[in-house]
Amino acid sequence: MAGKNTYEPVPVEKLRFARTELRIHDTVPATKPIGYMKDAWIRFRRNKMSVAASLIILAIFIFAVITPFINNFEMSSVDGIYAKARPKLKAFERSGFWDGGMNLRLNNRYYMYLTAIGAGAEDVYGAGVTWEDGINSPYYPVISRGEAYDSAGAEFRDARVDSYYIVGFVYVSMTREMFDDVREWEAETGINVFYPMIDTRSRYMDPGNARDANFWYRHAANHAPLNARGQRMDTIEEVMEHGFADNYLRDSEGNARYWVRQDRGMLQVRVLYYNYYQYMNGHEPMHALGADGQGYDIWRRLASGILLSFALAASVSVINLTIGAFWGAAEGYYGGWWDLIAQRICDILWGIPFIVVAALFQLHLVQTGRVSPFWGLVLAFVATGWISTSYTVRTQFYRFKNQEYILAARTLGAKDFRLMFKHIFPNAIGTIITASVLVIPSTIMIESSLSYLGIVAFNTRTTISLGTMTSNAQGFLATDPHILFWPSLIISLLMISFNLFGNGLRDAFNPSLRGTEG
Amino acid sequence: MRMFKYVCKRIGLLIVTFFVIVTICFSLIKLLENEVPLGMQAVVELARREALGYNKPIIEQYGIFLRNVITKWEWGYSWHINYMMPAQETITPRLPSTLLVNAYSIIFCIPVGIALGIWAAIKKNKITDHIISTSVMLFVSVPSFVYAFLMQYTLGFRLGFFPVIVSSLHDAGGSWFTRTMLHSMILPVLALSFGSIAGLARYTRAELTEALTSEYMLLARSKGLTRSRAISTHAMKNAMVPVLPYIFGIVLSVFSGSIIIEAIFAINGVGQLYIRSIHLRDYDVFVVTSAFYTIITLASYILVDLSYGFLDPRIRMGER
Amino acid sequence: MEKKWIQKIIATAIAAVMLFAAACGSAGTPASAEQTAAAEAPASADPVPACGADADPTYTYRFYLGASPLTWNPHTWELDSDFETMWLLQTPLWDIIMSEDGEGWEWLFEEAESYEDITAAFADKERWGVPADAAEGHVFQINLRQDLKWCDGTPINAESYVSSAKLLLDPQLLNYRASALYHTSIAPVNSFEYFFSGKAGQPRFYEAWTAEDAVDAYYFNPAAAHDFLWDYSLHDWVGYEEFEYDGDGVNRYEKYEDLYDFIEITDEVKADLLVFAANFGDDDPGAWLHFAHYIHGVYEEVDWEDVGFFVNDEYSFIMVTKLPNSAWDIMYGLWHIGILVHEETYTAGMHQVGGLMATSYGTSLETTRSHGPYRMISYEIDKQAVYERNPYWYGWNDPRYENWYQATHYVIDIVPDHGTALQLFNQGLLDYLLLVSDDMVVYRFSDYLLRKPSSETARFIFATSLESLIALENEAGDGANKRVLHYSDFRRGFSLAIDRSSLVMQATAGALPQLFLFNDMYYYDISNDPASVYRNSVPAMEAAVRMYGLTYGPGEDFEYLEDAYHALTGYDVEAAREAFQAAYIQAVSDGNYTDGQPVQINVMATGGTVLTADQIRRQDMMNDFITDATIGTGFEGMINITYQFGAPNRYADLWEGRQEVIMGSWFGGYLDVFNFILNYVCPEYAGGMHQLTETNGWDPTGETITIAADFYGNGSETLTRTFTQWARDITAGGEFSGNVPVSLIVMAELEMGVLESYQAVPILSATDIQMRSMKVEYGTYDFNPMYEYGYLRMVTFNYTDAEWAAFVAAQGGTLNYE
Repeated sequence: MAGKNTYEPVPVEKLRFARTELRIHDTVPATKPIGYMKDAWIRFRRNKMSVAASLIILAIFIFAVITPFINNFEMSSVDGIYAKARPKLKAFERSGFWDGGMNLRLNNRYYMYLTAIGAGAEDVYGAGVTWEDGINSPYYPVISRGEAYDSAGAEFRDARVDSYYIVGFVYVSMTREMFDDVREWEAETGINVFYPMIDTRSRYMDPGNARDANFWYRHAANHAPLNARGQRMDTIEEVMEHGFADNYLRDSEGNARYWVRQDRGMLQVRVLYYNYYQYMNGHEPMHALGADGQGYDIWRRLASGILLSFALAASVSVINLTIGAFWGAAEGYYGGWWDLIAQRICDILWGIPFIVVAALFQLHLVQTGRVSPFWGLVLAFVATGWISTSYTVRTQFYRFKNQEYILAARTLGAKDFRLMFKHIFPNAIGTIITASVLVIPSTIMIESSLSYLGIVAFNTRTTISLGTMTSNAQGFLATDPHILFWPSLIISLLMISFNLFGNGLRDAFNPSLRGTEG
Repeated sequence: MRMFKYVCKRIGLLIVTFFVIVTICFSLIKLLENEVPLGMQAVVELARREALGYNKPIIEQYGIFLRNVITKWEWGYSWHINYMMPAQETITPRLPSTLLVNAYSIIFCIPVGIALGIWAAIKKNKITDHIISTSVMLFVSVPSFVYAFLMQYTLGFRLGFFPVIVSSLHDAGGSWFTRTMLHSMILPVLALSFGSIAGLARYTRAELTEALTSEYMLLARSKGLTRSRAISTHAMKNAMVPVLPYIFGIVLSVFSGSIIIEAIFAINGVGQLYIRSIHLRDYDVFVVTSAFYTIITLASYILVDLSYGFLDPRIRMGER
Repeated sequence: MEKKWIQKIIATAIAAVMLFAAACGSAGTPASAEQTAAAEAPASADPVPACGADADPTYTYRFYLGASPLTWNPHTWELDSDFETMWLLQTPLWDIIMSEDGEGWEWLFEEAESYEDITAAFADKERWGVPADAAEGHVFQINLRQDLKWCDGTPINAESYVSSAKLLLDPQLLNYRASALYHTSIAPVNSFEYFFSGKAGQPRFYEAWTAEDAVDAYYFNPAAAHDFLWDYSLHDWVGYEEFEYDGDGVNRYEKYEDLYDFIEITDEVKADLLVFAANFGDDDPGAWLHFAHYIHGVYEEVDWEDVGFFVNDEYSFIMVTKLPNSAWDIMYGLWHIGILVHEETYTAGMHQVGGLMATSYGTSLETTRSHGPYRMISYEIDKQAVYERNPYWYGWNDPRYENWYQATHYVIDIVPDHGTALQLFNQGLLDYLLLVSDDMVVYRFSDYLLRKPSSETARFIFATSLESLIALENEAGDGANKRVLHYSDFRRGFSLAIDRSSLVMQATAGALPQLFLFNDMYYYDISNDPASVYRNSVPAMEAAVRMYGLTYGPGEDFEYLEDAYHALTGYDVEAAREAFQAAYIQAVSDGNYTDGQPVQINVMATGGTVLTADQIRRQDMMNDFITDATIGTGFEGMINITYQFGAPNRYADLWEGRQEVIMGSWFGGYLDVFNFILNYVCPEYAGGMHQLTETNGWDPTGETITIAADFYGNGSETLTRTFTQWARDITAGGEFSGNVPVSLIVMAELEMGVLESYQAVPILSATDIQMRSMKVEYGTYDFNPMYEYGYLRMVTFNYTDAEWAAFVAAQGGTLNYE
């Protein structure tokens, strides 16, 4: 029923004046104008994932900076005896978690050898010691052990062994004055360092074990201990019953001797290394994150490795970004013959094998001392690294070059330079930022494979990089995985966070996203 | 027609670039010094190098090399990797194992990678996206030899589901496609794929999310297309523009093979050939392998540039 | 139209790539198919029923290598993996096996039935230059077995051996292993001349310093002027230093740049040579002699008939040696060289490459022939080699071999990664495993562990001549001092400062500390006394104890010689400080060191492209040792040591004075220690003065050493001779060669003499740790350098292949070797 529209007039008293003053002004905007950067920051803040990522990066950076103050190792402090020791915290000792323990399958002779370390530690004066003394000694290396079982014709037991106490006794050469100094320290602290010397040329000693200071008990050729009457003891029960027969070097009155003359002025002594370490360093051997293949503290080296890798990757990424952006922009924008030539130059540079370039840089620049290893590697990366950024920028420019707004700007008389960097570049900034941010973790990864292939190495006493730590650890992956675990954990964290950070940045710098998020 | 002229120009330039790169490689490897053995062998080694013309100036050696290649297709001989074997023949016996392991890994990882990428992009910022993204991050950032070793140790050694190394032709009964051979290739294929799957998924997700937020998607949805229809016709096509070169990158890696994976699974592939030719200063093998990789890389660049035009008509590579 | 056209381009391109890949793939497959087919061909071709057919039980021994072999041609093999691939395919003339009682060793005649020393009855002695009165030691007749065949049935006789020797010494082939025949004491007459007859007619040039009598004309050839230029030819030095132009404005270097043979030295050439020498810091007017050569006779064209290696009758050949040789020399010499090759396949594989003739013999399945107990039936590059019993081998029906070679098949896998090899071994898929020291914490108490000593000793070597050190200081230009290295007291302090046992414990993979040139792998009279270890001999111990100033006897620090010897570690901080202080006072008084001047010592540790973590650890430990040992001396806190890498030839750089210290090592030759000292003190044995690395600042041909011994059986007397002369006296053809007691005393004094010159400081020697599989038992378990553990010959199997697979499965797929 499409009737004619009829309107009644609105009664006048329902109306009132909206505004009475004569001149009308714009109201002053309540909020300040949001510039491009501020808008980007707002959008970035709202993206939870990338904020978390940047916090992680910050945390890693702070970890690297404060470690020297809270870690009791120097960059250069190293002890080869405790190389590859497992991560251990004093609070967790013998707890089964973070206790420096490693799981081994011990045959009887290995189990007796370890118990002998505990027993030996309780027998400072060579007066004799029982199996129980060994088990109850604080230096007893075995943390926990399973039941004995037979396999391949012998008796075995699975055990968790402390990678610090397993070292046991070590032969050390020192001057007489140092010997006296250690005696003094023993008196002050009550900690025993010197233990009786072993008669290494006696017939109860297998010559192959002469260098191992833990073989203080009489034993046959196959390491099986001998009892006081010289009979071989193959089972644990026999050793429990008879105990170990010591093979100490004794003077005419039968007292154990604590040193042997060497060369003209030196003394060879047998020390319980756990305590000798305390004499040398003032604190118990304890690596929170474990020790690496050479005996450096992983935690301390990791911190300085992070800083070096950050510096290396950041400088490479910045240089790559600047060169790549300009080169790619010129290529993408002008196209035609210039693009062909520029692209071919890129192909040539890209065609040159990176490994040979890196090797040549090392050979001709670094080894001859003209350039430090750090800048030598940065040069190697940058020599061909910028091409990938230029490639991304070139693709972006081709993508946006014929967009309508560019054509419009050109008709309005905008110069090439302004077109490129005012209009096209901001659009491409998202992908470029992501690409250049991703360069940082991938540089660290490439540096690690370069050290694996033996082309570059930041391996000195005071400088180390994450990549070199990873490649050094590759050899120990099967036996000591903790050496590789920490650097690759950091690299993965960096990779994840830089990636999310990059995504966050890209969304933030994408003006078209303004106001679309929820 | 204009595109045809562009392709011809590109192929012409490809040959020039190839020629320049081979020349650079030829002289680069000669710059790295060569260690002389000790004692009596030094005299014989020096005489052999003299006879092989290594003491001549590099330009003269390059002249001889070019003449041999052009006239007799003779790329020289390998002395330190396979004694007295023509350099170009050092590649062919090693190619099948690398090609097969990589081909299987591509067939496995391209579809899986793209599917994960799409799934993550569609479910952006939801649980599945986070799970996929973090696991992708993990596999991209953890060095390949770590998960290669972990898989080999657990699946291969402890559980014994798969052989720990790739079987030899003789043990597998003489051909590459027997059951034992394929069974022994499963672990290296997985190890090779994780890296590519992760990379592909991340890249697809990034491009697809960007495509999903563009105006034409808004237009498509407002035109009444269902969400999946819009994604598949419009968003996917646009997202593929940068993803295709990545796929070509993976295809290209078929030939390079990963040095570490081939060492761990004892694959007699092309991977180590390149590195060993540098370390052992096997000049001719280095030049041949560099030429082999260069020709493939440059050819694939042309294909990638053409593919842009194929996917996005508005883009004409190289136009003014 | 345009769109469709592009799709066509891309489709064809992709097809092309796939085709190319398939072609390579297929090219790969048929090739390998051919290989397997070829493998079938010889097997099926021979009429004799394949030995070890599947009906009987098969015993496979699975071995592995870290790197693939290069070539297993006995004339050109270079790497260890080459040797491992090759030795199965050969049977030597005679071999060394464990004696019946299992204590010592004895010879076992294999391809040879016997050999006779027919020098006395030999007819035309003077034709071969054999001394007329020689009764023995020059002419040897080797009688071969009559039933020898190659693995494809071709018979082997004396002619095969002689023609193989001819190929080994072929002047065009320049075979890598030819020196084992032409350069050793058993070298047949004219073999050296035949090998170098490629240069027939050219004059034979000798370095000027070797000329005894006056020389009228001298000649100069930049490529041969080793004294100054080592093997870098002159043009490498062009532009390296800016040189004055000679009188008429021509740059001196360009004149000789492309000169590759000898020109006579005129006065003008002499002037140029003096300028070159001056630029190396040697401005003595006679320095040009270092570049000069003189002519002494001519390389003649020698043909094979003149070489002392010829057929006697169908199954015996004769070898005439230039130097006299004992029975041991001949047996040991011919045991070591692989002469026999399958001539037809060898010559078929010959190609001319540039100026060089080479053969592809022994590089693939088709080019491989065996006259050993096994033959190759499959070879896959970089992957695996498979062998089976060679049906034509005479041994299968020779009663002496009754319970030997029980293995029916032998497989070598190439497994580059140690972790993977460890897993294969624990799965029972490998019967041998080389351990690294990181595995020791797990396997140290295993019953299957075998520790094999290695003969390699690593040592610091110093350049001590003042002019080299001064040149190095100027080149470094940082004001740091290097001339202190000239003083032997300084180098003695350097040696005494090193705590070798803590160095090996903390910075090496299971090495042993080493104080002397030869470790306890070296024997001095192995042929008569299997326990004649040089290191444990009384003269060696006495000389060592005397060198380090220890005394033994009643009322002394040590009661017995053994006590004193075992107390020697070479680490003595007090003595090191005294030595450094003495060197400091002497250097300051000679004006070679100013107080407070830093000392920078660069050690070229490796030719590799990077320093390993262990090498860097050693550098840090060395700095700690030296800092500790210079406390309270003039050098306190002044000395810094830096390890370097990447030098292509560090031995030459050291001798040339381009490097002050290097890390070097010798190994091998442990069955005759007397012969080994020649590498330190005898120029003509090593191939010229520049091959003796210890001779920068020390001349063994000039330095003398006084030794007291009962030389001629009439009581002890003292004689003084040069190092080189003493070394010649105790080796083949020397005055005391064969007189073991005297040679031993001389040897001990020579070793200590070289050590006391402190041109070299030994540091450590390596050990090999390996694991045996449960599947096999070795011939013996106490290692003997002559036959190690009995080799494959004496390996017996506890399981057949089938039983072994069942046993491993019963253990749950992984074995327990802990």
